[in-house]
Amino acid sequence: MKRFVKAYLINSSIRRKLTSLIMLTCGVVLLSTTVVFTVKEAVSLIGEQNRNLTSLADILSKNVTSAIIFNDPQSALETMNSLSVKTDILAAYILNNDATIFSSYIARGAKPASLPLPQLLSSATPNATQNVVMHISLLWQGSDQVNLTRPIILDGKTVGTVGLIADMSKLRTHLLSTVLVTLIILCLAAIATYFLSLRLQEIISEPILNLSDAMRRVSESKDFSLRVVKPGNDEIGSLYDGFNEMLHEIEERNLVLQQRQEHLQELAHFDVLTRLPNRVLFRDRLQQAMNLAVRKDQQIAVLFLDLDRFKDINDTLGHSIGDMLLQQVANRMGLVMRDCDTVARLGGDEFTIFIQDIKSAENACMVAQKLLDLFEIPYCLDGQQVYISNSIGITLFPADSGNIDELLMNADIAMYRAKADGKNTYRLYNSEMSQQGTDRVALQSDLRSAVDQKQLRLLYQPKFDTLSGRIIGVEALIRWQHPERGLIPPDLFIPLAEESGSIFAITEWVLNTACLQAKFWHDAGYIGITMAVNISAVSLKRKNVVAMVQQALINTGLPPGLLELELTESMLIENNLMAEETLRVLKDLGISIAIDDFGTGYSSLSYLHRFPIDSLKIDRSFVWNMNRTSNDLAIVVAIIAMAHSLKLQVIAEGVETEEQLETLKTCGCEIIQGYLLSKPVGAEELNALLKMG
Amino acid sequence: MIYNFTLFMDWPEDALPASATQMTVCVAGKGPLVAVVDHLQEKKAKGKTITVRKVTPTGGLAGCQVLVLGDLDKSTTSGLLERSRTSAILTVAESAGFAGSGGVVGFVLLGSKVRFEINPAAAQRHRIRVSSQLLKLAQIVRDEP
Repeated sequence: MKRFVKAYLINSSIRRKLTSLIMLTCGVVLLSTTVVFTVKEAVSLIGEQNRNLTSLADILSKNVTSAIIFNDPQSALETMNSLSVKTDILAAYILNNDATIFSSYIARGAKPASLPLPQLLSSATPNATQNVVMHISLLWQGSDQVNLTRPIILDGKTVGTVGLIADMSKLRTHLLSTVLVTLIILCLAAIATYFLSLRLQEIISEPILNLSDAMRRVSESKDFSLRVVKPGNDEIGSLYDGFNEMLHEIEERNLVLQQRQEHLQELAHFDVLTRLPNRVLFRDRLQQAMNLAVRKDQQIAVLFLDLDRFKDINDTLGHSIGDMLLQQVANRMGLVMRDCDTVARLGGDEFTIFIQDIKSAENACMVAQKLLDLFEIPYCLDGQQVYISNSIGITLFPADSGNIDELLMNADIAMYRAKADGKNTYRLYNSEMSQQGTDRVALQSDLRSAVDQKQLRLLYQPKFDTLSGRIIGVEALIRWQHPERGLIPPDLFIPLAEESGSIFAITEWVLNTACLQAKFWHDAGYIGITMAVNISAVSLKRKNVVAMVQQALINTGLPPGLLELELTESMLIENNLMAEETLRVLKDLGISIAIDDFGTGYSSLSYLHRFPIDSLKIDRSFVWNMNRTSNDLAIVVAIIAMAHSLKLQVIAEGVETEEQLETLKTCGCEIIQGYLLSKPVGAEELNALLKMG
Repeated sequence: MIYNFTLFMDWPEDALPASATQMTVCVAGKGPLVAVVDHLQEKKAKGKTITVRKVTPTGGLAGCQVLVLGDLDKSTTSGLLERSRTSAILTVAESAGFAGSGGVVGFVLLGSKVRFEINPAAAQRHRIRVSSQLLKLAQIVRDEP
């Protein structure tokens, strides 16, 4: 029962709960009030009846005293006959002190049989009378009659007893009718309360139900812009406020979410920097264009465009300038392309373009040329004029391939060909390129495992003192012994290593191996044999090149003075500040720095004094030609003179003839390196050379 | 009987003050009534002790609240009545016509029952108030001329 009531209270609607609550409260109040008043009424009625009877009996007793005293029952009866006006008095009697009946009165309407008195009149023994009186007294409950006795007192002495038998049925009827009327009023009040509570509960339930309704509407329609109007400033009002605030919050969050989604969409399909479509969108559009082209029997040209030497600009002028350049390049390309063509940025400085409905390969080439021409005008970046060129690869759909991946790869290969062919040009793809392109990719992946699989080895080319003819140092030269392709020269695989990033592992290996070898010779008693190691541009850009060198020296225990790092001119110019800083740290460690291929680069000699350089290596091309053209000889002479004035050592590379050697000696070149004296050899062979002195 | 009568009568304050402790019943002559009265000696009525005193036909009546007349000749009776006339004395006699001839209460034998006559005018003369209950039971008589 209790569980049922609880379940009802919990699960029924607020309307019903409130109605029940009001009804219950009013019911309890009404009922208790009714009961209290009814009981009070009954008590007061009975009390009054008793008082009436008592006073009646008292009056009677006063009026019959003399009759008893003077033994005049007739007179007593006459007095009692006056009770006939009191319809509720059924009978009255007077007892002597010895409990015998002195006189008795029976109302006209009363049935003597229902009263015990008539029997008494004939047989009036005191005991029987006593019993009857007792019996009459017991009639009080359960019967409609009530018996009341009062003593008759004269001069302080009891001279007899007067008794009244009253009819209580009227009182009972009166009480019952009172209760009935009260119950009817109660029922009417309950009905009134019910209808009133139906109205009253709305004051509380309606705003709550409205709110719940609004909530349902919101959750169904997902329309969070909905707002509710609060009914008042009570707790429900603040509930409304809270609801509105919550909706507002949700709406705002939705908005932010939507914006982020749009932003993500944009990020997913557009390049943040240039606002050009990205690879994903490009592929999507290209696929659609291809589908259309198949139906219309048209051709599409796919162009792959890569800026030449963009890395240099990034490194020398900074990334923000590089980014600016990319933005301007994107803008310029947008100017020459049709709307139906798509220019996309794949990443870095790589752009892809497709041109729909191209009539012939020549037309594609014309577009490519137009793009190249765009770059003839310098870019103005942060106040600086920058010239930049680009290389373009072109492939055709459906002639070259029907597959996006292949088309992009073809264009990429053709672009690389354009770069290989001197940059600032375009190349049309042909299937022969593919083979070479595949080679590149294959080599690059092979190179990744070359260090681990011990496919790399070092050769050492000795440097000789021009005057004494003794070996004063060696240059470590890397070779790659490919398991299938045989020996691969560094100028073939180093660019690949730089592109793929495996250059760092290679550099580290070279440094360690070379230092270990130099240490070995040092320990073997060949004092002062220096070890020169070539550092690639990419490695130098990495700040940890210093740490790498230090680690190699620590690992091997080679005195830093025996290590020489060879860098190219262009590396210094491109990396200006950073290179200067790096070189200074290396120099402080005691390491020597040499400039390789000197003379081929910018030929700007002014920078030389800024860098902590120890020696210059004259490029082999000058050495080869110096005996044929006076120009080159003049250059060699000038380099040597200048180096000496800067207190730099001069090394001549690629010395192959006696004539060259003699010339260099004459010019004052201190160190010679070349096939004339020794080609690059293995460590064992060099051991032998050292032994020979 | 005399005792019962006193309960339904009230004397004026000067004759029987509320603070008085005794009530004097005077008797004159002989007879059944007087014999009964003798037994009232030392009884209590209205909270006062009853004292019975004999008086001679010519004796003083001062201090009597009740005067019971026995069997006396007519002249003695009227003489006593005449003398008690101005006093607050309840006069009682066992004879019909006593009340009518100036007494206050007269007993009459009516069959087996004893009835009594009361003369309200006489009572008023003696400044004695008679209870209406008693009057209701009594036979009311007037002074006979």
